[in-house]
Amino acid sequence: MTTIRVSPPSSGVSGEVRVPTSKPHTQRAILLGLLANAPSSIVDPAWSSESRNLLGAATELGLEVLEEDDQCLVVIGTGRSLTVGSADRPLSADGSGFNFRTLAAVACLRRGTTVLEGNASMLARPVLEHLRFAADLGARIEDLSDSRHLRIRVTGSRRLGGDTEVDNRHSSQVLTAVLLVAPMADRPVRVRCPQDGTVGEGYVDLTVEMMRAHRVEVERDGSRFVVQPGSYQSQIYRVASDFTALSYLAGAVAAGGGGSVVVRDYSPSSLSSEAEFLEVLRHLGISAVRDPLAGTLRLERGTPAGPRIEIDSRNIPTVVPTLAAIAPYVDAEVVVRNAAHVNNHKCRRLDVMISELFRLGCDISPTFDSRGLVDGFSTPGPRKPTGGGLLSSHGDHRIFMSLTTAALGARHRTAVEGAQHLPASFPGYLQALADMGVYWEHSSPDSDSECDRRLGRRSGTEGQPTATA
Amino acid sequence: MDLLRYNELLVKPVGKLSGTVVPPAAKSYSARAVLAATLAPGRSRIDNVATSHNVRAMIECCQALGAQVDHLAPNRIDLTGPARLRDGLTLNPGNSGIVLRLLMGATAALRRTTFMSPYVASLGSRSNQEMLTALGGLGVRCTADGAEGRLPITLDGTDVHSGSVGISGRRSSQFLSGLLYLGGLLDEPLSVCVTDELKARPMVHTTLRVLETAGVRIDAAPDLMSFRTNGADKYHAADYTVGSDPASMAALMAVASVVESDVVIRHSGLEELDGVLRYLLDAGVAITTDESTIRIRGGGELRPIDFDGSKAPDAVLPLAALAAHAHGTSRFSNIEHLRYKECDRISDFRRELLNAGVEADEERDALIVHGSPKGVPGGSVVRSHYDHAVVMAMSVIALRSGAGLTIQDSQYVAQTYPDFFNDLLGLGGSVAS
Repeated sequence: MTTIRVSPPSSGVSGEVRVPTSKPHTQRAILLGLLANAPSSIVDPAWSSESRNLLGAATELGLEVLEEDDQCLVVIGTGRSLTVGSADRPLSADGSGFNFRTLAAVACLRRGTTVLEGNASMLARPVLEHLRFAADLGARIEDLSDSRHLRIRVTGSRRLGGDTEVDNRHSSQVLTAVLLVAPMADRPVRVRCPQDGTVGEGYVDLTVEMMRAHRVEVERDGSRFVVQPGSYQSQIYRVASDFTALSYLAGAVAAGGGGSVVVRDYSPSSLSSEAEFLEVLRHLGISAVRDPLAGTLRLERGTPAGPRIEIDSRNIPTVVPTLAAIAPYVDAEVVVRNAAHVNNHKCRRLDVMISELFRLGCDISPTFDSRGLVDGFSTPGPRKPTGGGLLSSHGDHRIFMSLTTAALGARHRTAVEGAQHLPASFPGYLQALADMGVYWEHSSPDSDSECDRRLGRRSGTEGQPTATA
Repeated sequence: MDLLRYNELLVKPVGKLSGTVVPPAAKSYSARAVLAATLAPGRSRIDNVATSHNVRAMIECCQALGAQVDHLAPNRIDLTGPARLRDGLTLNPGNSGIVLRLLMGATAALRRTTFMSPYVASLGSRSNQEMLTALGGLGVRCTADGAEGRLPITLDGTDVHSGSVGISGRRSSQFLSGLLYLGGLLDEPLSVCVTDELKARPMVHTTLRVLETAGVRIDAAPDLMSFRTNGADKYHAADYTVGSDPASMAALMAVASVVESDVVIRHSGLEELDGVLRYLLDAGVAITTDESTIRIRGGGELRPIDFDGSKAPDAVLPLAALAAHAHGTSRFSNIEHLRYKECDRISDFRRELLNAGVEADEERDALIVHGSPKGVPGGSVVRSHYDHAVVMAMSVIALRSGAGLTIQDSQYVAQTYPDFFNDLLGLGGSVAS
């Protein structure tokens, strides 16, 4: 457990920082690079154990790495000439649902048989029942799982194609997997998602957009897709910056008392959610101005768009915790709606943020939908919270960074637990804080309690928060 | 079956080829026309534009720069050039030298254009030093990551100016063509002189022809060693009609000549193929021509003939593949500049000739092929080195071999001739993935 104690900056934040690039973009770029029958460059890839695992599996399937340095990965794919599969060389997806599902789909294109394994954590997830597409399209999947592994045997086909249905209620990854391999099939592939309530709509958009960028045609009519046989073109894929990581820097400008932060090498994505988030920021009084020639994004604090800002967060789930951290510092009443689905993420993010911000001393209240369920939150206008105390990330990197963001605007130093989760999305976050002039220090669990004692835990763990105007 | 989706193909021997084939449109003219149309504000039309990957790369770069492209038919586009090209882009020229070098000229007056290619082992390993030095002399700030001006390259033309500049034409005429494109964008006259020798003269003629169509007149010395723009002519929207691709034409002629055949090639112009028909006739191939067709009846004995490759550089590899089946030795000379293409078309190609079973020697600017009418036994594996010309030349050899040749990285034929294997199948050839 790693706890940091963050000091509110006395005169705002300023400096030059960088944000990481996007993992979903990187994973898709690796798969498209494998399926292209030509070289591809992936510029600024985001590495994680998951994307490393995927690159390793792609190499087993015939991908060749021509060059790799910090900024660029150059690979050469196989098109339909994937290596021939053999049971002696199982592919491993480790604990990644994305990798397992997409590799299963790629294996359908392969000659011979592919044994694909996931670790025990995968056994609990709904994986096997959603791989019916393989049989629908002409390949075969057998379940070889045991108590410690999710394991399947895929027998590929040289006559792939046809119609399939994908249940999109729990994950968009199967749909992404089918779509990505569909152009490599021998006949058109039609996919239908019969159920309403798609999760990860933005990720499906990303998949389709990246396929189109590689010159493959995807016809889409709502939840129906038709993909004709084609070829992925050689590409230079510049991986977009992670706008959720950006949100914590924008939050630092909002909560930390203003200033001017320059984000270097910011590469915008074309995701609708990113554009929507930047628009929300503008309404909240934080400008984000890009200089395309310098490749920078400048974050500055200005005036909100009105006395009351209403935000529909349906399409921007990943930044809801950040918005909760920003809202108490905005010179306006802020209401965020349609955030209930955020409670299905890594932890109950909406509930956790409201209660932890309350402990920090923020004046934040849940809002409810017509059924009386928590649907979002509201803040009445700027109130400097007392701070102090120890806030908990609940094991969630996004909660950790959101709470640290909020702590920048408090009166007192505040301890936030959970820095050990940062590698999940923003390993350089603490450095970025320092680069903006924020002082923070590590604090051991012992000194946390010392710190708590000294501050008398006045951050509102019981009773009313001590918010003051 | 889309053969371009596989990264190796077995081209089998064939008894007889027959039928009619239409070669693709010229990539060199198409690429030049697309760029000239982009530099002209307003709507230009390009008829019979090539669909090869190289031209597609040019079109995509031009779209990024601000051109609007409307596909009116599969091979006809209307292209509307923007009032001003976009600054600050990263452009991907694919694996095409001509696309890169022309664009380096055309973007040298913009602020910060970066060129990158995923083809690190082919275009990415080719030197652009001549061009960077020349552009530097015109006030363009050039930075290249690799030695010898290799990609990635960034150009900043904030302080570009006109004047007089020298350029080497020994390794490639593409740098010269790029500078002439830049000349048409500058408000003062630009003088360009070739400092050593110019090998690929037909390609420079193509550049001059396209620029003239776009309204940019260039005063060229008869020996093509010095050029001058007047600084007043601007790019204008124009209509372009593209002829047949010389490299693809030459490959089809070699394909039809190497085995027993009755093949009609229906073309639209024999640009950049000076001396090729003469070569085939002298070698003993039965050819009849009219304005738009060439009929070849192949399969007869082939005489060894020497060839000056500077007359038709794109024909050298297919003719050399054909010469591998002549009675005796053929010499292809004046071709040092072919070393600086998608691969080293003397050394790399010769290595693959040896792998295929053909005896060949090389000199600095010559390839010497020792022919044998029997053809090679076949059964071996050859590599394309990312080069469409090698794929097509090796296919010529495979057709007359005992057991065929496996061509690795055969998909790169699409840089110039995406339908090559389909057209070969249409004539009665046999190809397996």
